[in-house]
Amino acid sequence: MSIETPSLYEPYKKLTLCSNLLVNVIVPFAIEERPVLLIGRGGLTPMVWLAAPTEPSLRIWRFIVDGNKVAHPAVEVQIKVSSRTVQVDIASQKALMVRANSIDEATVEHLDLRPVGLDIQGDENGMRLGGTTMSENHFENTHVAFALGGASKEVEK
Amino acid sequence: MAEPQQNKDISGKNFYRTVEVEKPEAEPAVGLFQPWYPLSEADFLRLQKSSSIFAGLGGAVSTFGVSFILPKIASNLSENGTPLQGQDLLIAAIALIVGIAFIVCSFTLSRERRGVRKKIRKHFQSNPAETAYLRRPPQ
Repeated sequence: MSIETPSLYEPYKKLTLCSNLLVNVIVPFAIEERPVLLIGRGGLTPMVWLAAPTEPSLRIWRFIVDGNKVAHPAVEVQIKVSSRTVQVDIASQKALMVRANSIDEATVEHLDLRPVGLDIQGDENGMRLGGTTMSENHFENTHVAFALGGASKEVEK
Repeated sequence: MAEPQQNKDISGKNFYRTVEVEKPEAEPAVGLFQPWYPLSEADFLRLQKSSSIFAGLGGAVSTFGVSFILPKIASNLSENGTPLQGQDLLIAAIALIVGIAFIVCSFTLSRERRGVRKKIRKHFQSNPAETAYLRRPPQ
């Protein structure tokens, strides 16, 4: 699966997503071949893209955070250079908190995608997608970590 | 419709391919779907404008009141002038009150402002926020 990503997006070599380590993974979450969440290198802080459905049928998704820029009235992005963090709030709910550890590594410390219609929540200890919890797993060399939609089938080694 | 997802704990595993999961759904935040009202600068200026008819009328009437009473006050204050009659005061007071009332009304009764407010109200009536998710067709 090869998914188109924005031209400014440079994925981190290592991204810790709520205790799950993603190494050389381009897209953490995708829906129908489109990225939902992208966390890329952005100088001193990460650079975030977050998509959300834009109308009630939930079929069309657009970026509501576009390279750390706000693209929806209900969204607030806080970039703190001193702590190397980016925080995204949606309708005053904390949706994402990610910290850059170095040029090549970042950590997602808080994740709550319920405001965009996805039952995915996580913190530094682990992540829950619907009824499945995932903690301290290791993803390597895949284009997409989690593809959401369709029947549940996991391929692991 | 999908089978109920079993609760699973996956920990310490290695993945070298994409993990495909059923999309875990939640109710999106209120306000995610409600579109902005596109307020053009022209509409914005209309919102600010007051009705020129009422403002003009109000101005004319209050001017009349003032110009009616001032000479009478002046002659009342001078030594051998006529005293101020209650009737005159009443006329001037009424004129001033009516004039000011018209001016105040000019801010609320502007036809153009009402037009824009009606458009805005119609926009939000046909694009309500929270019920948008519940109207989604069943999948």
